Amino acid sequence: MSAATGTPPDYITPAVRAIIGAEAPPLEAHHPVEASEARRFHQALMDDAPRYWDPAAASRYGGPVAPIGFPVHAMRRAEDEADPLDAMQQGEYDGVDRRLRPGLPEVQVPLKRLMNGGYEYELFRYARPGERIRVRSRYADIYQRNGRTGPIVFVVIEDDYETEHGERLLRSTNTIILR
Amino acid sequence: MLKVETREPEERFFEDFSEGQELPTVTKGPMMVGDQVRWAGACDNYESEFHHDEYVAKAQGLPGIILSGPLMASLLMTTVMQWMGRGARLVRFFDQNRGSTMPRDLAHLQGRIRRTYEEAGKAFVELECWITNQRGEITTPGSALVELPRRGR
Repeated sequence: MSAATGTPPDYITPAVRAIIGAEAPPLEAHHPVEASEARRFHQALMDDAPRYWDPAAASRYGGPVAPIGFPVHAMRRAEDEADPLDAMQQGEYDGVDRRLRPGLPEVQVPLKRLMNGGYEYELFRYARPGERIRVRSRYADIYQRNGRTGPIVFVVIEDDYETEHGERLLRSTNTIILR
Repeated sequence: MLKVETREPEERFFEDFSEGQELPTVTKGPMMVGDQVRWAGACDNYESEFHHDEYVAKAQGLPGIILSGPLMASLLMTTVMQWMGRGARLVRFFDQNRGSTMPRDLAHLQGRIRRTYEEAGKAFVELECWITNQRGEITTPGSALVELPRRGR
């Protein structure tokens, strides 16, 4: 709340409004889905279904697959890409990375707590080892609500995951909360 | 070497589910920092210090290390697939990170069938799912839509 007027500041400035609808160029995963990467993922999920490694159990999918939510976590750092941990050592870094997807502009809102509000997934099919995953991201909406603790900014991001041949895998709608 | 039994979920059919039916609770935990570290490694994502450094977490106003929301959501999605059986096709999944899961918390994964219906010759089950902790607080409410095979077809 601003002490002078009692009205909360409006963080949806023209600059913020201008990036609603912004789309990132398609981003391709650094490498095709690897069998061992799928293994680490299903083990982290405590999901031991053999469809992830046993061709017989995976026959209904045409061979072993990566867990259904895998594409969302498949974009990895290339060998020659800057170390993201280095960015945290910069003096001006306040602990919040407001560039919410590679290739999308920063959401310039001076709120310091960033939370992942959740996901909605629309699922088309499993990714398979050997396929290269591609994502197209866009800011679907950015809006403010004023809660008891002050303004809260919601950033809604749509991520469309597909193979390098354009076959759809998953659409994620992710809500990021800044407060 | 000790081995765990690995198998596909049971075979289930549309006819096995009815509105209001409670699904068997699956309990994970007590959750550990190791669960979070393993998830960070699986995703190659180490950029949120509050997920592994208690000092940073507290400095940011959190009560301590919290486990990743997407990890908890992924555990819930895995459980939905196990409830619905090996022939199920997950069509939609939704989750909300409402409360934190911290190291030493239990995660009770629960579900209930909301609706069963047929559309364009296909059979669907809609369910509510959620995670509660040992204090009974719902940390992760969610829902799912699943297409299921019909028995004998």
